[in-house]
Amino acid sequence: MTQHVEEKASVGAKELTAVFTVYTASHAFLGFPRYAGETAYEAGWMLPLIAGAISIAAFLAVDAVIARRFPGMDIIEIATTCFGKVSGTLVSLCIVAFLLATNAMVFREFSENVVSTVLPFTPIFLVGGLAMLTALYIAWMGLEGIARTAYILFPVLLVGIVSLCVLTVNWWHPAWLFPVFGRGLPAVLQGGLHACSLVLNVVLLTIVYPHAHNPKDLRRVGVVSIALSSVLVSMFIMAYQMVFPAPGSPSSPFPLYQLARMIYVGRYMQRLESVYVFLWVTAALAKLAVSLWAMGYILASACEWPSFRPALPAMAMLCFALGMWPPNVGLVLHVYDVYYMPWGWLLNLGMPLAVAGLAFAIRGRKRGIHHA
Amino acid sequence: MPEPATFIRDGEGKRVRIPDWLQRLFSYDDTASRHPFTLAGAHAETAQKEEAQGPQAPDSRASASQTSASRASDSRASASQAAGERPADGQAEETTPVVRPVPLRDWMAQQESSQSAPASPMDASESPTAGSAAHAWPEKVPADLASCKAAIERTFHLPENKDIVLRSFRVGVEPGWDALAVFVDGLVDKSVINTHILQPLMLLSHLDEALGERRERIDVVREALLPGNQITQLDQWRDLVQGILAGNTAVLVDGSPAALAVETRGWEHRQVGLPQTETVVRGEHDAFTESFRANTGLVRSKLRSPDLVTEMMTVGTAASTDVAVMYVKGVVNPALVAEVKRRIQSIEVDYLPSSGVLEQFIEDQPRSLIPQVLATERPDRIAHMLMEGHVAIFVGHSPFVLAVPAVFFSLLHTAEDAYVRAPFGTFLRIIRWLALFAALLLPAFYISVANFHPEMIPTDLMLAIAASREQVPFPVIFEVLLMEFSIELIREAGIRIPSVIGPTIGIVGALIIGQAAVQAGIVSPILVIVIAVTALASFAIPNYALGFGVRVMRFAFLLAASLFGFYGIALLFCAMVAKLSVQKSFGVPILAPVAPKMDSAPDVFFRGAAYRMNQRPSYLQPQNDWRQAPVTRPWSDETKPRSRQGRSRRP
Amino acid sequence: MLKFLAAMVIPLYVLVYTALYGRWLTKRRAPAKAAAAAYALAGLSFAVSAVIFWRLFTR
Repeated sequence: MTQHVEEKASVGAKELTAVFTVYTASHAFLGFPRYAGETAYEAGWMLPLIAGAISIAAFLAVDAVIARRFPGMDIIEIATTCFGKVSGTLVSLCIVAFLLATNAMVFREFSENVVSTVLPFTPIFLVGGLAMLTALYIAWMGLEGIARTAYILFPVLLVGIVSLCVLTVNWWHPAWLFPVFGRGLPAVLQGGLHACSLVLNVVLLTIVYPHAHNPKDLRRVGVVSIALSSVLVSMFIMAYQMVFPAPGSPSSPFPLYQLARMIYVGRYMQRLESVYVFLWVTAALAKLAVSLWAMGYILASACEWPSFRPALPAMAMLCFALGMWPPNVGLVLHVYDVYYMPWGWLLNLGMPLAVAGLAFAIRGRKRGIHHA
Repeated sequence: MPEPATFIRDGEGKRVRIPDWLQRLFSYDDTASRHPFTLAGAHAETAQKEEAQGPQAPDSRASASQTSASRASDSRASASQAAGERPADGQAEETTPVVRPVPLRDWMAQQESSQSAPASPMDASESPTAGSAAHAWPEKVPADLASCKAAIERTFHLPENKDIVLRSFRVGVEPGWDALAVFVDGLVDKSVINTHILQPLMLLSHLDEALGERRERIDVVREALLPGNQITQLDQWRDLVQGILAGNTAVLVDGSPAALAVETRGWEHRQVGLPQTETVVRGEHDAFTESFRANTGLVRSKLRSPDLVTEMMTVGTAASTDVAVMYVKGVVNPALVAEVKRRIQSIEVDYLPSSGVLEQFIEDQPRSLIPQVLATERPDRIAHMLMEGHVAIFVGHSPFVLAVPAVFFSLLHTAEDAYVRAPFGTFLRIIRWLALFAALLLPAFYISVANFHPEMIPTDLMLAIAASREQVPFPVIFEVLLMEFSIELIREAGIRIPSVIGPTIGIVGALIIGQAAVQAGIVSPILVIVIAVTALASFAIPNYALGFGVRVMRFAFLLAASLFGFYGIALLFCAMVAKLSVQKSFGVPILAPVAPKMDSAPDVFFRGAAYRMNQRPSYLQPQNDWRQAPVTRPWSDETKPRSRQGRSRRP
Repeated sequence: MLKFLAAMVIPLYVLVYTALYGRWLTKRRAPAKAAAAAYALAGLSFAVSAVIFWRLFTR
């Protein structure tokens, strides 16, 4: 059985809920609304809800197996105990690679957004470097630090998304949400499944299992965070599509900014896009930091390191370099649309389900395993 | 954790030490996440159990530190790491032996004994003090009065030292007993010595000698002759010396191997006056002063509880300073008291001048900009915090008393919030929160908006700003730094300037940051407003140490804003929150009870009504969670709690 | 080229840092896998950064 890495940070349910909600809801500020509009047209707002429902079901299934048969263990420990060390390492490396890809993509998208909106004359190298450095610093503080930071900044995110939806109310055209199923039900369902690629809560929750104050709370954390973030993203997309018609969405790489620019509530409440910088920057930082922490943590437990921190600089460097790899943002969007979204959910939902299912089939019948 | 080699070899094969900062850059330093003590792990129940085993003797230093250390092992941070030892390579450990400071007196004694015979006459003549110091001290109080007198003369360096008064007299029994009174001039109340020591012993005592043996004379004096209200019998010489230096008068009687320390303290100190930094409109107006006992008395007079315990310690090996640890037994978590005592007792310094210095020795992260100890000069605040479950630390004659643990939110509270009605208390706190953010971010916001995001302000205002900046030849950041520097200068000069010419500072300051600078075209009028509001906001932060932190951080935000606008501010703010969120004060996360979320009375961002302040803050892990009954206004239906909490008695 | 060299200071620092960590693991008699992984991570991050920075700064 792999050893737990270093200090077992003990994090409360409310902080964990905040961190995972921010983690997934931050996709509202990145490329997801564009993808949703492109895939499902007018039904784009349904995708996060469908993805949320599927993810909750998957999470509950995995959680049931862990809670009944492998209490207090994370998914990698389960893989190691049931299928041997090699499988455990393989599972960890898969998750790390997936997180790395996600992080690099999010990082590039985020940096491009900054450069194209608020700092047009600053080189992306510098903008991205600073973001990665800050994310590294936050990740360095450990899960406790990340979770508490996210908890403090969570109200900002909540108020931000809601205000963004509400303040654009005088531009809404509810008719633009019809036809209800946009490109048709099959396309919507398929898009919903693909959108699961973004709900990394499932795989991350199975990793933070040993850190929860009370593992029983974790089920609530999972369900609430997935549901809340799905609703938030869905709300945002709905507002966005009522302001900008769905067929136009492929041409907008950064919907939040576009929406925020529309705000005009009297002469003194106008052009608030700069204020929303705080919103999407903090959300993206929280996301990058959680991923970095998770990568460091998984790698440390797979390699039997005493601490996850020494791995962080190298992981951040890798993320940064991989993020800078595509020569232009078009290529990033291409990878996102063609590879990441259609196949990411297999790793994200499929692997925890497969590991938990196989472990249950092999060892579960013997009333679990005895561990120290 | 990875330690690079401490040494490298140069071209000639000699070992060259790598500087510490370079080592740190290439090694994993986990101090951000490791804490020597976590209060959450030390539950009140286990601590109670420990307490039930009996109070620890004040000098059981080792056992106290051991229990605390074992408690801390929960968080996998051993006491050795807390003390600064790092897991190191074998080589590093061999080559750099641990050097612990040796108390000055012991060091001098070692020097004496190591070179007792061959000491050169030069040394002896040059440093007569060092030569005759502790080495010459007897361990016990001698029975023979002549030896006592000689020992006192050696100890206090008589006859050069004119502060020490030796008064030989005869106790008026038949035949008389030789006796000696020793005290420090200036520390004692002479009338007490005259009327309560010398007069009764010399004039009013007429007893037969057949009262007992010579060595029991001191008991007779103590029990029958000396009417002082506080008398301690001492037989250790070191205690006697400490007693004399603390303002007691030592009475020695020939033939008895002990001394009596009679309480005669009466030195000059400032009377209890108004608070200098924490004034209120509604509430008490007394403040701590430069008298240790007056300070503890002020708290005790407000908090008249038999459970209020004051434990005394001394810190300082060459000159001792009294340190009192005050807490309410039955409320405070004993683990917290043990940790406070452990940290204080591990201080080894020659002299501890003030609570401001002690604070730096005991706080968790002394390099942090945010204070982790609450220093206050208000006895009512200390009394209130003690009843919540905090521990108060009084240091010598310092007029600031420390309360630990301190969470961030309590640094923004004032005593007045509690004394006015809840809506006004809440209003005051909202103002203060706004002030905190304004003091921290307003100049940075101004720079960002002017440089990077002019579109977010309405066009008219933007034109007004642009017009006001038209005449100014400098970049915004230069303007802001200039004005900030002026403000800081006025602030610093205002404190240092002699009070006679105090009003000058106002006139000069008003000239600099007012009309003249604008008319000269050096700064824009809007910036003057921004800077003035920032200065006002920073004065509205009630905690002086937090105000300092905000002042310093403001410059960091200025820099970030001037380079990257809102983006820079957002990044720095996130990093700051992350750093704060892992900081601890005596084992309590400094952002508790918000992050991590913990139970607490409605007294965090806002001020709840007094009748709703039912529970003590749970981050203190007190032994008793409730400080008042759930229903404190049973006659009022309006303020009765809803059903869930509607218990009429405390659990 | 100068830009590339200047930018490579950071990956180089990360390489040294992570490699020193690997060395420390070896000294602490950690499992062979642990030290090897640290070295591999150090090398990987450096190599990837070098390739990508080269493309970024020399075109």
